[in-house]
Amino acid sequence: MQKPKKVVMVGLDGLNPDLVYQWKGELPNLSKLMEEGIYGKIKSTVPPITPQAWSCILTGKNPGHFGYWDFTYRDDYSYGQSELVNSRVRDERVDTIYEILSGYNKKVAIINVPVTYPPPEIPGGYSISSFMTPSLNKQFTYPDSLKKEIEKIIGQYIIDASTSDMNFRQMDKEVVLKRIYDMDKQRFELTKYFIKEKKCDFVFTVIMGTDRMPHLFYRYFDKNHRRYIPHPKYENALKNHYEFCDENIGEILNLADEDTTMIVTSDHSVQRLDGRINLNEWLIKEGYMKLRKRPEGLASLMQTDIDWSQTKAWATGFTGQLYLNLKGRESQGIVDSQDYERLLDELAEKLKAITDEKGERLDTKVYKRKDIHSGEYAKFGPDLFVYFDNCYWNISELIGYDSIYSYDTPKGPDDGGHGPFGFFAMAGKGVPKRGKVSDADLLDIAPTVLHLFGVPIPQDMEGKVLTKKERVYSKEDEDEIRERLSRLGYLG
Amino acid sequence: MKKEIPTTYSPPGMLDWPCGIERLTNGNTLITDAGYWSGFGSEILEVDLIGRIVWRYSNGLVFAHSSKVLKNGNILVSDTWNNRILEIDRRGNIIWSSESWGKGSGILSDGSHLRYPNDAEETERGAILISDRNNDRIIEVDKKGNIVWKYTELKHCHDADRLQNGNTIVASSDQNKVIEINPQGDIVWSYGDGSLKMLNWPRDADRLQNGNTLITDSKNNRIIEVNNNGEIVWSFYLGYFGMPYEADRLPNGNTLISIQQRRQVIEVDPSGNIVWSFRNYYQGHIKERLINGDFEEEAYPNTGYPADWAKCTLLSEGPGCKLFWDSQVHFKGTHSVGIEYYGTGSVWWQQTVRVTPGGLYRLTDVVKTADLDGFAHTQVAFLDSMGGFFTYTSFLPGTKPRKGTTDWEQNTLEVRAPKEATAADIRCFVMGRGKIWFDNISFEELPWG
Repeated sequence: MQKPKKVVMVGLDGLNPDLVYQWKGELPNLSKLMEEGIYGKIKSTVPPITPQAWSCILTGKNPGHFGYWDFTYRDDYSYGQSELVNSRVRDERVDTIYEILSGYNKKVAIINVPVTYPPPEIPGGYSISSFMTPSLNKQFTYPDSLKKEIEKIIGQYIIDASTSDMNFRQMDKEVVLKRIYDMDKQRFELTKYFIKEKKCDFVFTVIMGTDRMPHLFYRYFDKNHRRYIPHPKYENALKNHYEFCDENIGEILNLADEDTTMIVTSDHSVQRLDGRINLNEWLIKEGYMKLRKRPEGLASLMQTDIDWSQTKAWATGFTGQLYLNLKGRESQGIVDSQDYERLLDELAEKLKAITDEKGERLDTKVYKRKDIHSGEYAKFGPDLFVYFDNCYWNISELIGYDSIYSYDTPKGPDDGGHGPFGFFAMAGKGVPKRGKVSDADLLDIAPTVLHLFGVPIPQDMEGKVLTKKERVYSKEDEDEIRERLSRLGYLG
Repeated sequence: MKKEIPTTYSPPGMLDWPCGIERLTNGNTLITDAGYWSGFGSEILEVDLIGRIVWRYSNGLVFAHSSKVLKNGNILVSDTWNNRILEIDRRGNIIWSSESWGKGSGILSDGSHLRYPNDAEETERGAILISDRNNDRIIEVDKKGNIVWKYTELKHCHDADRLQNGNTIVASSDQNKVIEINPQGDIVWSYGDGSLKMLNWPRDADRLQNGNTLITDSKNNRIIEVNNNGEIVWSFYLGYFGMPYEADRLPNGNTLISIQQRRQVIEVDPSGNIVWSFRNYYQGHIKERLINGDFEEEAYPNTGYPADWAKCTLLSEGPGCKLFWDSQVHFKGTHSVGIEYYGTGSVWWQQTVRVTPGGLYRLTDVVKTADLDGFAHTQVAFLDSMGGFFTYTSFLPGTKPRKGTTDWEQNTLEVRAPKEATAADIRCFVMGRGKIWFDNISFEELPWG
């Protein structure tokens, strides 16, 4: 298979594979990629949260190697996750494909990829940092001069759907809707600019609207949503945005020459959110956590006066992360090291038994971090991850509710939650027509991109190359060969 | 119950640390075993084709590096740690010793003493060519101790060979070079520009019949054959951290290699296939977990020796270090272990424990120092199932290095065992000059790792 000269990768944050399949007829360009190349669901990280998911895509390594499981992380055995994810720390810990490719003299541009602030200094390349950029007053591009240059093309860069003083979930829907389109248009414009004008070998852009839209508009079209509201105006809001992205992908495809490979991938899906388990409230109810004083109103874990000397576990995150309060690890740890596995098993059993508020069974999965993540920084990570009802239920870490169920998040009400599988499709030079595959993983993206460029894949990358065709040797094949060899007298 | 005093950990005949090797005319292989960290177990082994030990000599050797068969059939040994060269016969008698020089003082004609000799061979005129490592020189000495030739522009040299043309080839290991010197002391050929990529601590260089030079590039874990123009014409890469010590090209075209870190001698054909191997190491002294970390327990009553810990003086670069069980100075309980050392190498107390491959471990120590010029800490050397290490001693992970004079201070280190690790040496380690005490050592696997 011939190697492409260029690879364009468009990340669609939160793009839901089931919705892509459902709306396939109206998404001609994604359909074209699917028909001509390889596509399918792509397994996200545990938990399926943006910062580490895109970091896995960039590095081909599981989160244990860089220590991020959320927007925040801990870098020691303290309570809570006091550190905020950033590109400086991650890139010190692991090699990214933009570093590796630029080392092989590939001209690289990364646009709005989450966790790229401060903007990576890519030799001979370009970077524009993502929604985790403090403000436009800061240097958010590399090289510095790129800031002025892109302003001339797209006007003022829109960092996120949210304005600096307001969460997008609480903004007026009309205002935020327009802002999402304006923002995404900028990203698509820039993608074309770096392909056409800058003649980059590798352009990697992430579109955030595909995540922001379902968080805001999921309930208006999905009749299965517990808080479904028929809304003639917003009924097609999400679908229209999918079509808008598809149209833009089409324009990029038109721009790409025959030596180009196109990859579209999401980092997780956004799916309907049925509700939240107030996980710390549950821990309190079950006797795993003790408070010195109940907060007045809702309070975050770190705002709450917790009696650590009587607390065995605490929880945080979106889908559910649990940490034990271990003797010899946390400063006021009380759980004996010998009880580590036993207590995790006990918690896992009890978590799986939690029902929804009506007593209906939830399809809950629990993962021990030790079983799924490895690497230098794994030891600071959560001890247990939980997916309530395949993430149709999320959690709230807030304390002060009067039950273990709620719909609110620390950030306000939400229509959508993150699901464990994203969508990917790729086609073009170097990509065989394999159709749907079922074993793709975010960790596969980095080695696949390197392989497409013919660049050696570092041995410690964990994923596989998606474009390499596995040789099929079926039981049927073997039976046929046996029969033939037997007839020839080679087999007794 | 009686406790073992872990003095040797190296039963007779077990190959710990192969250095010098020689294929004998009868087809057997003579191997110089430098011994175990404890300073015991250095011996010379002759093994036959199927791995039987047909002859051995160990009497008093410490960290011996080479043994070579003389024309008279006796064997010339460099007994490195004891700073002496010996001629022994096949019955095990010492026929001659460099200690006879200077009326039994071992002093050479220039007033110096051998320091860490690691290679000795007989020359045409009946003298001995010695690589005198810690004097940074090679010297040719007659049997009475008169230096008849020398070359001194070296840094920690290994393996000096007199060539047929009268020149001498030697590996100047710390200069990362191999040089050929004529009798006047001029460098007439060299390989290595000092960069580690080209040569990283070469410890053996042989001129071959075809005029090429076979070099053991120890820390690059490879053997290379270079031609007169310095081009690599053949190579054998170990592909793991093995620290080969010596490589000899055999008459059949194969190459005999001693691999220090795998406690193994192998013969490879020109294509790099292993066609013969000798290895009989086993890790019989490994504990299931660290015990007596507080040094409270004595091995036997009144021995003054802590149970389950080994004194490791192999790298002390000569005698004079004191490792002791101390009932006067201690952090908790009634005892600690101490080290008093004024040498140029390193010494330590050690216990080897089993580890879970890939497991996360926490090492804790409490250390006190007095006038320490250098550093002391507790370190971990992970071992694979062949007893091989993963990195060079200088890069071992350890607790905070203590210096100068410090009161009892606790420190911890979290470290992950490599995926191939099966055991770890826990070392209360000192490099430098001064007095140091260790107490309350623990090494535990962290369940959340």
